[in-house]
Amino acid sequence: MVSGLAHGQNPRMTGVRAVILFDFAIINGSHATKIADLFGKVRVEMESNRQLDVNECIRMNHDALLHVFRNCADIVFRPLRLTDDSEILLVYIEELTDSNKLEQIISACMISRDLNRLAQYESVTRIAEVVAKVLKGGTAIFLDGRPFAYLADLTAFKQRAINEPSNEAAIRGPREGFTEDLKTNLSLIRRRISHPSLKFEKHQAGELTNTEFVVAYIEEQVKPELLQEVGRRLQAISTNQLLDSGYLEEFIEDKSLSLFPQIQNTERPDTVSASLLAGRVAIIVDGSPNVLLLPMTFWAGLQAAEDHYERFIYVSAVRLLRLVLAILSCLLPSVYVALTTFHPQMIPLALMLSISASREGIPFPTVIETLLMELMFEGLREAGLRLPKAIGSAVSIVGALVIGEAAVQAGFISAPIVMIVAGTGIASFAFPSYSLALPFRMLRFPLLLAGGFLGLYGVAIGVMFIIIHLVTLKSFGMPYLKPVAPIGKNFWKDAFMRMNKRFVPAPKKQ
Amino acid sequence: MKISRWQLFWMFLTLEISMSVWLTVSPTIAIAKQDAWISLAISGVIGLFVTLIFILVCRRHASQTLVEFAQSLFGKWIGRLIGASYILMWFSVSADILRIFSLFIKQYLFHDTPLWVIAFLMIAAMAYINYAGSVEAIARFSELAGPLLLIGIVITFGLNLSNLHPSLILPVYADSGAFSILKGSFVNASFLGESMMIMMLTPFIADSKQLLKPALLAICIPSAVAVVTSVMVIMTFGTNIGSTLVFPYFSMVRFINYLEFIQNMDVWVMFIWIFSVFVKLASYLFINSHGTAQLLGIKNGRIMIGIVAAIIFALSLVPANKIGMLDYAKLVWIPYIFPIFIVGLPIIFLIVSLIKTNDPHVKKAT
Amino acid sequence: MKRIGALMVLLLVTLFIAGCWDRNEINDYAFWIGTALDVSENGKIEKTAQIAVPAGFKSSGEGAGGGQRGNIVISASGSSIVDLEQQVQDKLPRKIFLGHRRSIFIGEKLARQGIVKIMDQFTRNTDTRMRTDIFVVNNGEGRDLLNINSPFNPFSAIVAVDQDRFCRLGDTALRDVLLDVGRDGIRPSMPMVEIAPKNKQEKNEIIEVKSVAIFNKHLQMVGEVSGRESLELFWVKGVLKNEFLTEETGEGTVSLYESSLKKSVRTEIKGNRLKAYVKLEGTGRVLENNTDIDISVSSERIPLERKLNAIKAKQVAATIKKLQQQYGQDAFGIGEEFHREHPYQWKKLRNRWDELFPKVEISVTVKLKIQNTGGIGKRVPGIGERG
Repeated sequence: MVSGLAHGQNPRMTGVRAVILFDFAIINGSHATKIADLFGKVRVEMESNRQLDVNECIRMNHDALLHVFRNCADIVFRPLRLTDDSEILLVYIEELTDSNKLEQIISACMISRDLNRLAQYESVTRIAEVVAKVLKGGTAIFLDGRPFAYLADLTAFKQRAINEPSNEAAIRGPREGFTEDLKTNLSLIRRRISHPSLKFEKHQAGELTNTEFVVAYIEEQVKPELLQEVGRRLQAISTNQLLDSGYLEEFIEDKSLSLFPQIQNTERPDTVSASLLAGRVAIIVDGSPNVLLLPMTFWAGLQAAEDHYERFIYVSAVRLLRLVLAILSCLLPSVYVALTTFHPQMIPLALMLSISASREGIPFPTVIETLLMELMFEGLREAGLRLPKAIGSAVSIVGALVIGEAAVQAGFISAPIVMIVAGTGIASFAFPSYSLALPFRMLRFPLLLAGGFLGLYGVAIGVMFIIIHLVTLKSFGMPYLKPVAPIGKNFWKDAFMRMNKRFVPAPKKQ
Repeated sequence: MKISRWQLFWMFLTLEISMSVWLTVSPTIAIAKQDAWISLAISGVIGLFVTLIFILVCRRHASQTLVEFAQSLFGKWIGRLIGASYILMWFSVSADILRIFSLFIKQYLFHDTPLWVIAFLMIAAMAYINYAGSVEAIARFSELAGPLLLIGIVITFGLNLSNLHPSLILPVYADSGAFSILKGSFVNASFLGESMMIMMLTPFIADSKQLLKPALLAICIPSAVAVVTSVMVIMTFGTNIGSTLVFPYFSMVRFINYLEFIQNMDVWVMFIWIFSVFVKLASYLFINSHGTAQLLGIKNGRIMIGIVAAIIFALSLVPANKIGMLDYAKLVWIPYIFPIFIVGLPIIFLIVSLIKTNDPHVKKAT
Repeated sequence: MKRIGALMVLLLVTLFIAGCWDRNEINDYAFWIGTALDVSENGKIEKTAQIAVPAGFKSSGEGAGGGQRGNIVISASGSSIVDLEQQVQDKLPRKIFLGHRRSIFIGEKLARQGIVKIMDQFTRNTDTRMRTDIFVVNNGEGRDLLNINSPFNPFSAIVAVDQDRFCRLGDTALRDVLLDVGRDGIRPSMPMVEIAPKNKQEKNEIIEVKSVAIFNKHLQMVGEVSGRESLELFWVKGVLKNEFLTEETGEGTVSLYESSLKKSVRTEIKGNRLKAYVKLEGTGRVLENNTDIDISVSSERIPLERKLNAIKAKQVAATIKKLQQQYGQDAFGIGEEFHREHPYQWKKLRNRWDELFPKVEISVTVKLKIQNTGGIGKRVPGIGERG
């Protein structure tokens, strides 16, 4: 291990090797033994180091740690010499440590010589463990003549305050959003569900990042099979890095080639709490404000958090509207193209004549025209997303207007197309879930081609393929379209529409 | 991958409705004139009766498909022969439906697009759903398509109300007479008899003992739809236009003009209706591939899907024209398939199965 | 398996790219709005098409007006309808599209010759719609009608439909004709249009829809009734929904707007005598009252209603008589009423209906109710005669 980390300052060269080394440490499979011959020597050295215990002699410990933390500028070694010549060594990361508390400890040791006070802290005997804890922000305290180290958790670091979740804003309901800190996030959930049956199982993944994540569930509500399945998939992860919940999502989702998200993500603690209460499992990853919720159904993507806070009739109407808009965002351009180029008898005469009139002299076929404008729109949206907030929205709106207006004025693009593209855009903004809007944005294009080349029959076939995919898709054993296909007993309660809570019993274990 | 009985209900509902609004109305009007609706109601009763027999047979062999229980009832070779003849019949039906479907789409939506393109896209979707999710996926698909289709049909009925001349349905009975009415009822009854595919599906149904209610309801609703459709068509077009129109329901929908804006709705109805034909064809593909695999003793039925799909596709391209294909219903389906495969053999199955299973009971008792 | 899947996807993609057999841009279509059919001098059929010109439509929409027509009119003559369609296509740079045809005009000369031969293609082509209006052009050629330039709509073919809808039946005429052709107890009738003679104020020629053409079994036009009589015909036929009527009561005229018009017919067969009792009902609103009757008073209104009913009944009876005597064609569908009420006897009557109809004894009763007197009850004192 030491040798693996030895070249830490040159990660590009040693990265691969380091990965392999760490694999050794964790996996004791046949895979590991094969490569073991190649790196045999290193392995022995590392294994020995891993096994290394904390020495009674502080010097030895100091050297060992110094070797491990070579070229790590952020690690502070602070040897203290007491009046009786006994030595104390503090090892910590300055930025992650609450200096006030640290000074208290130091003063306690130095002045009142109250070394017993340290007994309140965890004692660790393995060097490797010390290293891991220090990297997580702990403070290691070595005392002369003791074959272990005290590890004080004095972690304090700068973190973002709890803000309103910007991507999932709600008019009514709590304004809190998750932050990047795991502990804060857990506290946000615990504050909502104060019951011992809410469990937070702690795991760690990523051999280089050593990221902690928590699997949360309510023991009374969750199906044991679901938990087992989640556990099984989490076990199977092998990665050396876990920087965001998105990494985890890719490892545990059912179909990686599907366009549709099979795991929901949210920034809202209230959504997470409601989902937990409904028997779902949440995965909270340290360093990511997006919590994963699983299993996910299609309808969950069409529901906003405040659906449960607003009055139910309004909410049911809005959900219906969202569904219609979702379908429109996918089908509007293709249906327009199919109707105008294949089935003009569908369009009322007056409307059709004005479409026809506005298309006079346009150089592109309708399909190409629509495709161009849709691409342009997607481009503008993507560009606007990355720009600073103040400029972003202005640029995208003005850009769309100018491009649309100018293109129509110049006679490149017919006016109805601009309207269709704008309508599609509006419809695609109505998704409460950003990740569910993505497949709809993408599917628009193949459907557009299908409509452009085979008319409504092509669109129908395309829609059929999408539906077939959706009905066969499962998220952790849960059919994606449940409770609509297959029809479940919650059909009227909380899918298309939401019934008044008075008439809907709270979800129980299924 | 079992389906529930209400999923079976939606599946059958979807695939029966597609026929009752599409192919059955016009021939029935041609035979029974303005009393076509009585014919269709009677055919519903016949359909119920026939389905009842199927279910009684299925109940006795809940864990077996037709191919399997025919062998256990009649011995290996006769059983295989019966199974093979059913499969052959289903092959011919699915090829026929695929063919009529593509001709119909071509006639209404296109002019120059080659038939094989239309048929090929359908076949591709059929194969995909069978590979991806088998009968379970078909059932779920129909749970989406069925309600959509029902809503669509009810809306078109509602919008058509203003075009009706109620007096066109009169006089009742006098013009046609009992014989014509009964003769007309065989058209739709034979289509409703397609519920015989249940005999291939029972092993895939979770609670196969309680099929009666959903299966019978799945016959009732389509025949009710057929009755209303025929009444609407007769009241809109009278009997003489109604019987000459090849697809009167779609002509009726095209006739709707609501607020000068909602017009020519037939393409929209067709859009949903394609889904239900798809359910029908996909189920046929499923039972064909599954049955063939069982017949030939192939363990992995999935391999057969592609082969069977290719065969159906090839078969559908063989016949000459639309009239020849509609004749299939008139010349083959009604005079041969209906009495033999839908009525005759199932009754024999039931009797033989009753005798065979009763025997050991008698022995045990004595 | 994956490879087969990939192959399928590839095939599908090529299909989509290779396939655009039926694609046609909307501005490559020539929208056929109206058809006119006439007999040319040498006895051939002449077909005239009114075709939309969207560019012209746009400019007139923007208010340029007048200068450019929104349509062109093209004609061709030949023997079969489809052949004529091809000839029309030869004269156009865009593909003709029949899905939006709104009306068909038949010249009176052709109508009198018989239109059996031309009806089939109106229903066979799946592009065309059943909801089309069909007219006979009174004393004229259909072609002239298509040439009319109406200020309301660039297409005179649509103007005629709107006008027909507003004052009579609307766009179900083709269906109604086809419906009647197949039945024994009714003879088809079609609305007639005519080009109204210009007067000084009117710059453009104007379409007038006021008569009905009556056809016999072989779809030959045998006569026409116009004005009030044509409305009465439709009322007895049961397709009229509302009408304006003005009656001379003897003390002055009364005008009513009658809506929810109904008819019911009872029939009776006594030996060789056929009897039919026609009962017409409706509720009305008074529009004009030039008499001294105070219609808000029941004791005065009821006698008025009776008087109106008697007058109307006499008029309707006269109209029926006229059709029985003059044309001998049952455009009312009295025969169908016999069919419904006496289905078994009807089987003997149906083939002789053209002979029998003139001899049917028809009595008419009318029941109009005045429900609404308008804004005032009595006339404003001082208007009209002073009593």
